[in-house]
Amino acid sequence: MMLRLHHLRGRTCMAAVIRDVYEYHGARMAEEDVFGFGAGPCLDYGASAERREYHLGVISPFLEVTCLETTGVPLRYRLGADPAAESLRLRELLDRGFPVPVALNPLACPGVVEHTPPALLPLLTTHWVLVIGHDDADDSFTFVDNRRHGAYTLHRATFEAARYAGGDGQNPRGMWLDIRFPETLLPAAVSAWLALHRVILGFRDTGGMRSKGLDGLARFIRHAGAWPAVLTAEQRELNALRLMNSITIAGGAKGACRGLYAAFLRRCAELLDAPALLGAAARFQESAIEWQAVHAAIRERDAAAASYWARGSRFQRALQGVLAAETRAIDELARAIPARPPRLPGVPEARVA
Amino acid sequence: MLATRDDALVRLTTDRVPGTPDWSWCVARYAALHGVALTPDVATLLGAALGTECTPDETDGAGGLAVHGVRSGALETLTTILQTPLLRLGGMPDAQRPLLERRTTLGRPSLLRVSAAPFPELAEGGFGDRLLVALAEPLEENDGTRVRLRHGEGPGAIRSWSAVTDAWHAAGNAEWFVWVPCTISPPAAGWRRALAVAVAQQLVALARAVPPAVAAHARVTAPAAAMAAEARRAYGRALERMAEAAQWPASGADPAIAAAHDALDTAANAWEEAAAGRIPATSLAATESEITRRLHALLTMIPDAA
Repeated sequence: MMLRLHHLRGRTCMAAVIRDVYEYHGARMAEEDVFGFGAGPCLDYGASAERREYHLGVISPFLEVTCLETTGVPLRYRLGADPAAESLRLRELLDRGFPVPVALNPLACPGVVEHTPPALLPLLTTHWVLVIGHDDADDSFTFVDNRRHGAYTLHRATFEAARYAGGDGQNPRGMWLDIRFPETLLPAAVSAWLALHRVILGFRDTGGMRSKGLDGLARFIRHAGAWPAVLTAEQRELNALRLMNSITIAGGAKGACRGLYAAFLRRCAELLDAPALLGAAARFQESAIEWQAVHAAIRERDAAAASYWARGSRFQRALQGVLAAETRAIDELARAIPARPPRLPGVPEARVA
Repeated sequence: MLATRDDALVRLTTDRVPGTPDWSWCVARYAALHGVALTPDVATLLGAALGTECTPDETDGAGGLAVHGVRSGALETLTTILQTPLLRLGGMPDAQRPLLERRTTLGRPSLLRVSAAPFPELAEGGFGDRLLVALAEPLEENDGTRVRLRHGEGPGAIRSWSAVTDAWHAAGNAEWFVWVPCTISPPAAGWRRALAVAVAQQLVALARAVPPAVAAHARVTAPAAAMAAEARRAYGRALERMAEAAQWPASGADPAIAAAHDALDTAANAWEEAAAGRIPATSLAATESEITRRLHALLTMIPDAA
């Protein structure tokens, strides 16, 4: 039993899987659309003083939920209670003609991470793949992912192990996405309007902890300047590596995916008849370049050295450049989006007395 | 946009609201136990919780469909609009029990998704094996092994974690969440935008309602109707208060807000009428689409949030 779909490689695993699901159901989507409808760009600063870990997320951790919500596709996360029962359920869904997004532990999955630099392996968490077939004779499952054009086939026992392998941080716990694809999607203009506003909401977050959005990035920069005083050389190097991994996902999305978002904004300019979005797209493209400058600063210098983090250092200047670019981009985006959403089909005008 | 209990916005959200016997009560209670004021009605609004869904009706043994008026994905919508990820945990139930017991020993509540069937005290029938969001609160005499499961203001059900994990085994899934709750701070432009996005997301959910032809075969149970009705009334209350905070009335949107509120109340009554058998389930389509029309009219009058 093998489902036929037009699979494409992608920059991030989840976006590529979601793109394939839309494609399979007849909805043409590019990866930038999934990223854009998913309100992909974000700034999310997390710190654990106890573990001496500082993390700056630059891609929304719920991109897939937002993408499916803004396009009108019902979904539910499911966590499997029993590996064998989950395999039966998976076969049943495939036999009914549904490809199924499934989370795997990449380290327990032969062949998936063979080209990943060893230093990044500990940072890899759940990897999403799309299961497209099973073979009863071989007792195996076949899936595709963002990393290559061809499909992978794993024996059921190995596949089940990869769904439950790893410690607390990496065990995917048999997670899969239950997507009930509707007969029609929402009009793309409505979806775009919702998704663009969600990005602004995230970036202009002024919450109590000030850990998100532009405030979160500014806070991260301030804290990074103090790292030499609180972190060991080894911890500094690991945190820099973590940041570099955020900016450039292992699969090859550069510039914190801001260039990808710029492509989506160019499409939205047409969808929403809002040419000013082209200006916002240009600002996000500039932001991508600034993010790459941060990436280069991490790659080319010794992040363990205390001078690396000092005010006025190349790394600090690059971070300030990103903050300025992201602020310009989000300001221009906020000015460019129509305040009111496009009309939903089938909703007649209501007159207010 | 996000705020903690120390912010002025708490004044806006700590008004006592009648308990809503559904996920929004659990979320609000969970937030309160973490020191954040998020009332059930605001959760209902931000989660775009209104919407009709059908599930197999296993309450009378005759098969068929049961119709519900609260969306099952509202919790996910709420957390994505608030920009605070919902950390999903679960998997093999036996592996979860020690984690949950440890959490309970530390006095922490947990949000769970459980099948309604093994816990009739939570929602008094009418839900079959529909998955419910429940809150597991530590008991006063807390050894970590037992918790009070709650789904509303009532006493709930005292159960051991073993009973919960057994139910997960039987249902074939195990899901619980760790979430950092927060609320949204008014009256900045960002808050206006959040409200506009939440209302637009609600329109999207309503546009995906169960078609009348499907509803014709569905039964409206009393508990589902009570939940649907309360959700609509809660949405109306939250809309009025939050629109005030976002200064929508200043832009002349007052009549539109009142009209939306009326439509929500009318729809709430219709759900109760349908549960009592006085109107067919198909007629809910008209009152639900009136909500859609009124919310859409409201959105055409909102001030520019940029």
